Formats: sequence, C-alpha cells, structure tokens
Amino acid sequence: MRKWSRTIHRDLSFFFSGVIIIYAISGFVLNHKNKINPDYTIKTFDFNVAGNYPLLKDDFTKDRVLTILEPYNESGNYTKHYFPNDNSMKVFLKGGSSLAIDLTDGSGIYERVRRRPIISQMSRLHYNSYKWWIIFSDIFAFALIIITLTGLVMTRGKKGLLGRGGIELIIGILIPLGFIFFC
Amino acid sequence: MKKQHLLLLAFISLMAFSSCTGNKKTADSDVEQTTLSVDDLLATAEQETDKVVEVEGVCTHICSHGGKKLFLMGSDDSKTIRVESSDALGAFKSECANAMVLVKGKLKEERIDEAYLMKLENELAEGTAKEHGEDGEGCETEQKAQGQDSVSNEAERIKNFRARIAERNETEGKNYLSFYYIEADEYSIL
Repeated sequence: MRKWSRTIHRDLSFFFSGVIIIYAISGFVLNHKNKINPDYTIKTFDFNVAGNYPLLKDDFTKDRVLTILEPYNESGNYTKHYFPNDNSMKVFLKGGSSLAIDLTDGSGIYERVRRRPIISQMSRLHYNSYKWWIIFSDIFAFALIIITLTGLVMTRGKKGLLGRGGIELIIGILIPLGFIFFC
Repeated sequence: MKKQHLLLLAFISLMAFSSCTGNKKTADSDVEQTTLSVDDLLATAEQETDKVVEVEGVCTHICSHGGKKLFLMGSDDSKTIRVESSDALGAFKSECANAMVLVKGKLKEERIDEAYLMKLENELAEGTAKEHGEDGEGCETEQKAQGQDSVSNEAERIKNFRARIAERNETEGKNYLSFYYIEADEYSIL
C-alpha cells in the first residue's frame, strides 16, 4: 500500500507539477488583481494638440488622427475614432491601446496597453476558457485528491499521519474551517 | 518503459491543447451572408431575432472574467451590442480589444418587463443580485448599450427602465423593453 502510494504520488506530482505552478502563480495574481492586472501593463502619456480652442470635430480627419498617433508608433494600429460627446474624441487602437482628446483645451491622454507575457496566458488558463483545458483541469483536480491521499499515507512513523503529519493535517483543515465559520 | 509512458502522457496533453485552438474563429461559410454594421443590425433587430446574422464593429470591451462576452460598437457607443461566446468557442481572444471584429451568430432578444424588474428588486433586497463584471467597466459598457449611461445606481436603473417601459407601452402597446445580443458561433479579427 505505501509502496504504491509513493509511486503514484511521485509520478502524478512530476506530471502535474507544471499545472500546479501555473495555478499557484495565476491564483496569486488573481488574488491581487486590484493591484496587478494579470493581462496587461498600462501606461499613460499626456500630450497637447495645438490649435484654436475649442477644437472642431471636423478637423479630426483620419489623416490628422494618424499624424497624432505617429510619435507613439501607433498609426498602423488605428481602428476607428469617434466623438463620445461634443467635447471629446476617442481613438481605438488595435492591441487594446487608446487615445482621448479633450476638444475644449486640446489636452490628450494616450493609454498604452501591452499584453503581459506568460502571466496573462496563465490567468487565461486559470479561468478554464478552453473546452479541452476544462477536461484536462478536471483530471488534474481529481489527481490532486489522489496526490493528497497518497501523500497522507506514504510516510509512516513519527513524521506520518499518526505523528507530526497528523497534527499538520488537522491544523491545515482548521484554518479554512475557521474562515468558513468566523469570517 | 516508465519514461516512455510519461512522454506519451505529455504528448496526449499537448495534442489536447493544440486541438483546443482549432475551435476558434473560422471565417468559412457555406452560405453567403451579408455583413451588417452594428447600427444596421440594431435598426432591424426585431425582424432578425433568432436568425443567424453577421455583424462587424469595434470591440470596445471584453469581459475580464472569463472573456466570454464582448461588446461591439457601431457609429458611437449608444449603438453597442453584446456578443456572448459559446462553450465550444471559448473565451474571446484578448486581441479583439479595440479592433474591428466580425461576428457570426444567432441574434437573441432579451426582454425587460415588470416581472424582471420585481425579481431584480427582490434580489437586490436579499443581496443575491448577480454582479456584472469585476471592475464595473463591463457594467458601464452594457449600461451605455441599454441607454442608461446617466444612471448611477441600481434603484435609478430600475426607475429608468420602468419609465421607458411605460413610454413604450403608451406608444407601441408593448409593456417591455427589448435588448439584443448575439450568441456567437464564429468570429474573426479584421
């Protein structure tokens, strides 16, 4: 029994170690999503459009908007611009970035959005977006139970379930129970 | 021998991963379909309900939780339609954000009537009302799409709906509001 537990525990741990790390990192990032955007890094740049204020909507042709985008190397990412109201213009840029101009005084904000590598893919997996990933992560969920159960019984003696391991097990169960009943 | 088994398992999981990308965005279609703008679709939505439509617009927002909803904008943000992904299609690619996106899917009608509003009021009172989005942005986009960008809380939202239902009942004899969304079968970034 212990020999089998050791073998199963070891092999499943090796096989699923990559997924465990993905869930651990993405779980940490998602826990702190108010401070860390898992998908993007966002940086803003202020600028000013010269002219007679208030600026006129008709002056903002596509060509002029492309000229404004040039310093930010975004003219190739132009999707569309429109006027949400009489006093502002917004430009949509492929990749998620955008640019907004206040027509009353020409002040503008360019919001540069860049995809955060690796972590964004990890958090995407965490949300179980793909059909086959759901199947794989279901298998992983059951495997975690097996890894846990085999881990509990594979060590005997003072460090096993009847010794230090048992105490750690009880404490580990009491912590979430405490949150459930008292928080 | 054991090593070979492990390699085989790794190969199987890789195959599963690669196959999941295959169910995303296909542009091929057997039947030629007219591509509509969001403005045109919303203007003819009543006649197109439960039919397969093809529409293009700027994706102004993707739901950050799960990425299975996005919003397509037409000429301005008052002409916006929600697009929902199926389980088979999975989450929309983040590259859709702020890009022109072509969507093909079934147009559905969502009705807001007195029964819906009473249910919403009860849920709000009990604190069980479903929350939309994580950062409020999804909600904001949807509120604009529903012509409610000036309301600031749920009570005002319900009041606004009631007033508009009464107005529609008076003018069209319909005691509900109709909002439309698309259940996407395919999409592509233009």
